[in-house]
Amino acid sequence: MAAVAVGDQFAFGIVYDRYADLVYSTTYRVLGDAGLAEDAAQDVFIRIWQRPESFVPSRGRFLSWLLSVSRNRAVDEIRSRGRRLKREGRSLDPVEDHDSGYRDESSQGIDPLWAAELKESQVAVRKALEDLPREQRRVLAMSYFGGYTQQEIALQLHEPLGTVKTRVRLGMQKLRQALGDRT
Amino acid sequence: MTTGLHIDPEQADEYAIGSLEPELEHAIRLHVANCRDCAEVVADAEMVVARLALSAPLRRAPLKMRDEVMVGAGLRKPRIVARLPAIAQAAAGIAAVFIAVAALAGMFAMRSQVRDLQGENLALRDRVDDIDSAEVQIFAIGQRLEEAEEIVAEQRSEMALDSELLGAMLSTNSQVANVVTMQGKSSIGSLVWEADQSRIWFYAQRLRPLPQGQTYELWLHGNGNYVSLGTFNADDSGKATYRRFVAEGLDRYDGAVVTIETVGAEQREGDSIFYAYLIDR
Ligand SMILES: [Zn+2]
Repeated sequence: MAAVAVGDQFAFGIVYDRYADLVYSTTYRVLGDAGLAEDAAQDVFIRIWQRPESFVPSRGRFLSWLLSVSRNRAVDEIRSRGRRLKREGRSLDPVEDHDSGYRDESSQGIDPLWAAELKESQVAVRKALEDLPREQRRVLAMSYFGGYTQQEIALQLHEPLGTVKTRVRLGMQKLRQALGDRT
Repeated sequence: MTTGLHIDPEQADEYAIGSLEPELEHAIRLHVANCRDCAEVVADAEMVVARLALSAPLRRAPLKMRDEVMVGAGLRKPRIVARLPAIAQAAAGIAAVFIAVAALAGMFAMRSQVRDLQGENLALRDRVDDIDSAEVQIFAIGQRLEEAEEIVAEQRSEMALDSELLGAMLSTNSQVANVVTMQGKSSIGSLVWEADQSRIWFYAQRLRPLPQGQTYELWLHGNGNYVSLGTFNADDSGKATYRRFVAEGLDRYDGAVVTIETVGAEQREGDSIFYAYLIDR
């Protein structure tokens, strides 16, 4: 049993090294604060270790699941703080947000194939987002990274709720087409 | 969202991106937990949405986060865990990563995939084992070759000795004596005296192996004395062949005997078991 435990720790260590930057980047993207982003990312990994069964493989690739968990964890943080977080000066639009730009500073350690594959995915997603009409991209980003509901977005943008809903739906459809079946 | 209504793909999209009001979101979550069809629709939307996270600018996680995670996860020796990926890199690179990721995935109920990978790993290990055992076999063959070479070399030197012995026996300058048992007078070998070479050849067969501590000894009788020409033992097949240079001054002999002596004994103690008599040519 000791060997199994060591093996799992070994696996956990490798998974951490592989995904830490992505998880952190995601929580940072949502929270816009290094300390909060780190806390949330830590939380994600500790939960993986303690409750690995929460990943249901039929619901997709591990990476997708992990990023969803990371995003949700960070959004929960925002919501639990009642949006007291100050995020001024930071656009949620991934295309317009040039505060850091695309910084390929992550090691993504271990193997170059993985890093290359990852970079390819990132480029594809960014391209798909760039190709969306600005309004659609904006509502998607506000929902996903900002944790805003359609009503909150409508209030912020001074747009009718129906318009926001339509933008969300159209944006998602186009995104799905652009990304194809790639996962 | 009421019972009996299902989630259409557009709603699933709105849900997946997190844009719905908390109450509606909660209702959908409850429904999805109990409706397989809707769960699939939602999962599909979530897959698309999850990729949005990849658009986030990549930032390097703080280095201290690793230790904090390891400690927070309750791994007792974070330092050891911290070293493991380095070992993985050194040991097996990409393969180790895949197996490790899959091993963790195994914790996520992907047991069969892990088993497959482990199976592949085992198959690889088996192949390594095969190669190892082949190497051992090659080593063993090498050993046997060496042994065979030794045997061949031994036989070659024996043959050389035999042919020299034959040459000595055929030489007109040689005296050849028959070596016979004391009792039955059956011949067990020859004693060849090469007068011009001052050496003798002794050749015998059908010798019984002696117990440890005992040895055959050949004595030459000449000038009224018995002079030892040395000890010898039979090989596994009961043969003995050797040659000796005879001490100067001994230019003739009138007889020879073989005794069994204790190894290291300085004087002749054993009774004669063979003796040599000249073959009249
Ligand atoms: Zn349903």
